[in-house]
Amino acid sequence: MKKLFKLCLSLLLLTALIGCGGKPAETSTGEGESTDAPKSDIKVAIVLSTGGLGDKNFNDMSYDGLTQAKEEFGVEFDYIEPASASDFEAGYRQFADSGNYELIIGLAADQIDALTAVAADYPDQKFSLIDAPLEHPNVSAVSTKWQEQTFLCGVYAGLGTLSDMEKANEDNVVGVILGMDNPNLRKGVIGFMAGVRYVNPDATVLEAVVGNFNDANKGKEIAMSMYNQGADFIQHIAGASGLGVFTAAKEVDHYAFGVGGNQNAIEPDYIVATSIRNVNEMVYNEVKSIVDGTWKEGLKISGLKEDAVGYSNEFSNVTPPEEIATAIEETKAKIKSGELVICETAEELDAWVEANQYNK
Amino acid sequence: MKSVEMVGIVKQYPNVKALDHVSFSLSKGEIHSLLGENGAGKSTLMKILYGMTMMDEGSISINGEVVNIKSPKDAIELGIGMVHQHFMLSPVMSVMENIIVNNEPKQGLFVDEKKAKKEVQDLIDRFNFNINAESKVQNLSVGEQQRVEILKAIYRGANILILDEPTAVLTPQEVDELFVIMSKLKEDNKSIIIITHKLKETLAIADKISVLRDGKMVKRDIPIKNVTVHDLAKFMVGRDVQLNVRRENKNMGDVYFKVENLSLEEKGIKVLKNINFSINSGEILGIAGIEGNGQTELIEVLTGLKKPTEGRFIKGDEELTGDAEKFIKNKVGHIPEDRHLRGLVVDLPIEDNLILGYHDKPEFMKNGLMQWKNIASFSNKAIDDFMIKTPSKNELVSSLSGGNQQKVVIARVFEQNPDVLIAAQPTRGVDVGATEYIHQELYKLRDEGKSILLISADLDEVRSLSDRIAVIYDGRIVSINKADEIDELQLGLYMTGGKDGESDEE
Amino acid sequence: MKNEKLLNLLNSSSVLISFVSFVLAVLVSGVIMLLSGYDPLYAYSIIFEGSLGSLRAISNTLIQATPLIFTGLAFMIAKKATMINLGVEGQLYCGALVSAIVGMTPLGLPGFLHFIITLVSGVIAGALAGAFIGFLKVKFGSNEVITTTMTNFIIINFCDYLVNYPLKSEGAVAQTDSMLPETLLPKILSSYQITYAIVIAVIAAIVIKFILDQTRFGYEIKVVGLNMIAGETAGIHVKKIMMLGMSLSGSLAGLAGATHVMSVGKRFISGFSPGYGFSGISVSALASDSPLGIILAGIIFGALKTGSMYLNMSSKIPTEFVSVIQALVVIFVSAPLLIKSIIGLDRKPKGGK
Repeated sequence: MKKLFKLCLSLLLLTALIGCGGKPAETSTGEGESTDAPKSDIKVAIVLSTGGLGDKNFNDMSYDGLTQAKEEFGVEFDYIEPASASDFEAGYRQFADSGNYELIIGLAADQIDALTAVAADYPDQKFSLIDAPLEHPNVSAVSTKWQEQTFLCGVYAGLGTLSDMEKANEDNVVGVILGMDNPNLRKGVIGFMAGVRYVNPDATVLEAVVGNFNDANKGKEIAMSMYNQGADFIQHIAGASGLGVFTAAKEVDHYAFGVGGNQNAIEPDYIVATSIRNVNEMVYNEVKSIVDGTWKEGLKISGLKEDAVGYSNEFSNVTPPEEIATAIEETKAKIKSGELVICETAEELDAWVEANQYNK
Repeated sequence: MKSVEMVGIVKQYPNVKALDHVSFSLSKGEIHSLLGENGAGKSTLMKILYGMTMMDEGSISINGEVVNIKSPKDAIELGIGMVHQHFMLSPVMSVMENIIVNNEPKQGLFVDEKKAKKEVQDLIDRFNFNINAESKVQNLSVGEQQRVEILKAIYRGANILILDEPTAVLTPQEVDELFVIMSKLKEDNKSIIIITHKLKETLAIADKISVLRDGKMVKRDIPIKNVTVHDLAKFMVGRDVQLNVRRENKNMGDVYFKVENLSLEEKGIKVLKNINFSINSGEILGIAGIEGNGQTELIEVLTGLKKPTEGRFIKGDEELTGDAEKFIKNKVGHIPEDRHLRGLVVDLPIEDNLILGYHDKPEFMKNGLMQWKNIASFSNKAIDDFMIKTPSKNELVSSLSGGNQQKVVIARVFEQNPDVLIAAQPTRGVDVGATEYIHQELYKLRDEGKSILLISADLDEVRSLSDRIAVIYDGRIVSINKADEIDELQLGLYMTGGKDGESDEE
Repeated sequence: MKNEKLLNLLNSSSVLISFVSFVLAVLVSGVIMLLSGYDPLYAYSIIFEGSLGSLRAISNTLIQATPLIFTGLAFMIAKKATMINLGVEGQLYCGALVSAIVGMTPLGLPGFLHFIITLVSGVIAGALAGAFIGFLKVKFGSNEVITTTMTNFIIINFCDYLVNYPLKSEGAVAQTDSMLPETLLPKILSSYQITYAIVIAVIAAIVIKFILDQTRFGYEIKVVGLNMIAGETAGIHVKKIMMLGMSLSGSLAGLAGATHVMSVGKRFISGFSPGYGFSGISVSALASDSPLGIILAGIIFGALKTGSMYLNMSSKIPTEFVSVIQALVVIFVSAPLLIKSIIGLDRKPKGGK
């Protein structure tokens, strides 16, 4: 009896543990559900980024892209959630080794090393790397123009801070907060600044770095200090640290922009728009190219034109004033047509602003 | 009707018969002493009564009814309480909280603190427990903690109380206080079993005595008026025992070890004050004193564990300085007063313990490598020489009885043939047989011409072994006398500070 | 008693406890899987296949096991010297960073020499980091649990700073430049990821066993660990032993970091360790602090991890279950009384009193 009791105790303890730590097994129903979807023999695989599913961002969006491909083409997919950067290579090898996958997809620049090593060992295997540049014979690398992703929100901010929008203030100040100071995000900052000054050359754009992508508290503190310095619109490019920016916006009653997947619904009264990056589109397009037979190795850089990045105010409760909406639409068209090319570096910025003005 | 009646108890362990058809009985209002050497089966018998161990055969009746005790919980319900050698108290809780825990008087969902307090205070007053129910257990002395344990058992309704070696950890005063409490409990018609191997105490408190030897009950229900200490020792050991018999010293030499102007200051308090004494070769100098008067510090200073604030030691012609390692190298042997704390690593095998402190001698260690072959043959010899009862040198020390553990300490030091021996409480917690043996060894070392400093709380031991006796009081040596020139009464006066005599000799 | 035979077979209660804990953990996790609607037999067969079912699987298992063996040893040695070294993770970072820096810098030395210097510098970095903790403990009595936890923060964040700014290589990733090929550990099999790091780990375990069993330091560290005051009484310089123990622990952690960058990472990458240092605690617990047991425990945990990746890839069973198994093992191992009472070991007599 006593033993039984102790066993039960251990079990109970355990269940309690799981209750706290485990996440719901939401992915379990992925297979065998799509009864009326088209059938296909094609299988693809993806090595997700660290952080894994449930990040409401990169990984989840990729998963969505694959799910879409599955629904449309009947493509099956498997995935690995590596615990750290050290597991990437093993993950690639495990997939490549099985030989079952038409395409193996990787995410982000920190997988470049692992993919380079593995791609060389499996010259017949097709790989696609999303959101990172890599030139390798059997690899298709898709990356985006960061400056085009944030530019339109910059335009919104530049005009918004001058407007009489409800939560805007007198000061001609806006801000941008990035998670870590790396070249990609830096381009995003320049894009945002260019967008602001394209419509509002005298605006001050504050800038700050959180130092990582998962410190919402620090993100909030930085945002608070920016709002206190007169900013009324803040663009974050800071992953989960950016969630703190939204909290701050709500607290001080100003505006913020989301980034990545559409974040507007998180605080629909304060987030006016998101600088969208359609990772799901990119993933979906790579799978689609396999299905079509149009998959090609090499480096692709896509932007607004390819709908890889964009602007969206869907799900936001804030409707932009007429003039802002018009300005954004016009600018978007100009970029898509190639009439307007946005600069990438801080050195070019002043000259670029000089040369390109919305009102001219 | 007997309170407890245990009949034909058998307990078989894989290799030994721990109890062989043992019968034992206890009357109401009786203090019954259960005597026996370590390993005789006393604890096993009591653990069976308290439900901590299952018996293989036999029956137990409590107050005339046959019972089946499967766990301590059953025992407590039957009114049996046990106070172990190691206390099971929470140091951060108060005395009262410790007593009522798991047994709180409830008022709805809450503890009825008022009621609890009153009940506990009543018990304290009734039986002269002399403790403050509010103090935290961590602030109590060992004796007071023991009283809390007894109180806890009584509070839970114990009418039969088992005390496992209760005096082993107590100072003489605390022993007296304990005995007062025991008498009060007896007046209240409670029955008490006291497990012990201290014969004098047994005679002082018990009504009846039973003696266990090697798992058999050799004497049952002896009334105390019919026996002497000597008889009891004989029952326990199974042969005639020479206890506390002085052995003449015939070849005492000249002064060999000298302590000069020794002082020690700790945290601003002078714990040792200008101590001077010397020991001749072939002499045992005993130090008597009530515990806590500087003995521990004196031992630590004399073995290099602490640096004296002032003073020096001279051994032979040389001054002795340095740390513990240096003292060991200079052939100053040390039998620590607390073998578990300082003397042994009980979770290591016997052989590891037999070389502890001497492990860097060339025969045991060469070029940083242990010479296990040499250590093994040395260990086997030491185990033989000192008759340590163990199946093998590889057994953990923790598996040995207290007496055999102490023999490991003794063997370690004696095998290294020290010039000076600091022997602190050499027979504490050791049974009669082993005590006799250790005394013989000390004599042998003395007769080989070595200088021995004996520090013991057992006044009888000091008086019988020592050639001269010094008394330490409040960090000072208040007297040094030839052993046959001072009686117990005078020693007692010096020990309590009642007589601030200077040394009676030059 | 029916357990007696089993007991004799395993010849030591700690091996038995580890074994039973592991089995129990697997069983309980199975029950939980069942309750959550998954097939535990299927899951375990996949984990087994994914960790030991093929050469690739075994290679991956050993890769995962390598750092765990080192960190298990590191934690164990510190524990023997009475210290709870929660700083293994930080010391591992030190080793990894220093090795990566030395390995990526052209020194104009012969390749083999550069290789040795790369390895040794990582070990020294770890040793110094460990020694620092030991120094704080013996000199100022600071609680090593607190100092190691705090220094972990400092070290890990400082490393992150370095690879994000001054040492950052070109590109978007927070990492150093690649190490030179001659400073990397050679592969055992081409087109498999496995390198000689695992061999170094096994040798390290054997060396540690030798040190503990055969040397003066080993003897003294055991004495100090089990009864510090008895050690002091025996003239052992307790503080010195603690310092040495911490340094040895740190150097093993450093070795873990060094061999990792020299085989898996090939450079220092921010966030390369999924908590190898902390897993070392579980490994040494499962091995009940036996050096050779740590090899086995490291491989078991490595196999679980590799298996979980395979589970991840070829079924929809959440890999969290594998973490559950690991956590359970540690809970059971650290509750020996519970295990003993379940298997009936508590009825064994103690001493025969």
